[in-house]
Amino acid sequence: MQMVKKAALFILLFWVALIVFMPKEELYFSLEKVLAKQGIEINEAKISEGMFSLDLQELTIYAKGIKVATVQEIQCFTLLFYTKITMDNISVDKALSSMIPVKLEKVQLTHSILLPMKVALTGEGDFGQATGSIDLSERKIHIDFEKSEKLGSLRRQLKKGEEGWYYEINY
Amino acid sequence: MKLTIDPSFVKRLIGVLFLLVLIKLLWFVAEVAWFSVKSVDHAEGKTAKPLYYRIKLTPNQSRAPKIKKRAPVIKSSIRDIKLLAVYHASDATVVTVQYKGKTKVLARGEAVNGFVLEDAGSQFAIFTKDGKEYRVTLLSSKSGSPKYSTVSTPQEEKQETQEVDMDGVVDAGDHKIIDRTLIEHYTKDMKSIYKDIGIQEIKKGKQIDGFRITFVKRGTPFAKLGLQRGDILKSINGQDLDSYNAAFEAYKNINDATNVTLVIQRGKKEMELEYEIN
Repeated sequence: MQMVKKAALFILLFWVALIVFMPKEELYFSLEKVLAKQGIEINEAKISEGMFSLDLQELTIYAKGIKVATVQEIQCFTLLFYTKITMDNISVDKALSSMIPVKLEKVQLTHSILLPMKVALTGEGDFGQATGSIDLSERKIHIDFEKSEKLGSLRRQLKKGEEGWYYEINY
Repeated sequence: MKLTIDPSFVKRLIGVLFLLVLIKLLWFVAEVAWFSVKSVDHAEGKTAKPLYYRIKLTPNQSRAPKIKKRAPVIKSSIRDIKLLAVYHASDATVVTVQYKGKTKVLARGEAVNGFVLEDAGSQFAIFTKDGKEYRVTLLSSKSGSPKYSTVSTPQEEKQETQEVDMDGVVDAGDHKIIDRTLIEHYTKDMKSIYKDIGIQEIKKGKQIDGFRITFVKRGTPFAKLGLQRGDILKSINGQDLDSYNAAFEAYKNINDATNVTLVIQRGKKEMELEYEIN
């Protein structure tokens, strides 16, 4: 029993140390580098590293040199077996209003080791609330919208299902 | 002095510290070997746009000569087509028409002068152009002249005998007038642009040097603007199209524009196309 306790303590310590000592900022820069190769560049005003998290503030997102969106804050939290990314106050360029919602109050992405090939997604904005998932194995994004009356021009991008309007795309 | 610290505790503490140092070291090695230590920041391009004015100079101060080609004025009338013969069966529709003195045999889906053969009956053929349908009756020896009618609205037949009135695009001689609703339609529904026209960037090294038109769907407003496959868009209203951002800015500002001057390169010639938005 003593051995089990010691092993559990060792694993816990190892796990916590692994996350705490993780060079989160450098990992983020590496992600930026990968995205830059796809034509997506992110400028951020402030980066702050926490024990288990990384906070980015006042971000501007460019796609192929075009300023497409600004995000007030992105919080990334990870325990490795559970990861949560929260984005607050996203403003998308008005010219893209027919394709994506212009104002998003909050978008949350969560990944759990229990469902390793799925990323859960929730969003709040002018359109009301939306929930969905990203299927990593099928490379598919599915988002269900709760209120149909607030969808406006976004509806053009959506399909009507039995449970209401939804957006689906394979990437 | 007696030592009060348990030696096994010290041993464990050293073990823990060793583990922490090891993990830190591992991350450090990974950081040096694989991770990027520098942020990839986007450098904002110049936001100031060159001022663009069209100034009409006096004859004494005429501007430098420029190769300028105006969009061709297309004369298009269903009346130019005479239906000579019809073969209509369940599996095939073939008609013989006379156009500008020449005889042509058309199968379903084929076009003459932009009019696409859609269907036929025993005494008539139906053509479509720009979403409108035209019925042409067989040229008979008794009557001597064929009958023409539009299926959608009878008034359209009259319009067809005049200079082409393009949907949303009107030819005003030296320039073309674009209906603002057409612009609004394309800005609201970006996807419809890509259905009607294909645009691909041209790069000189890493720098964008204009956008090539890969296709223009027939009968669409883009075709009516005088744009052709292979044209290279060089600038819009004095703004060089040397980045995606420049193209996107032009797209965003088009709703407020009253005039558009497009500089294109067709073959080796550079041309200027002028449009008025009304």
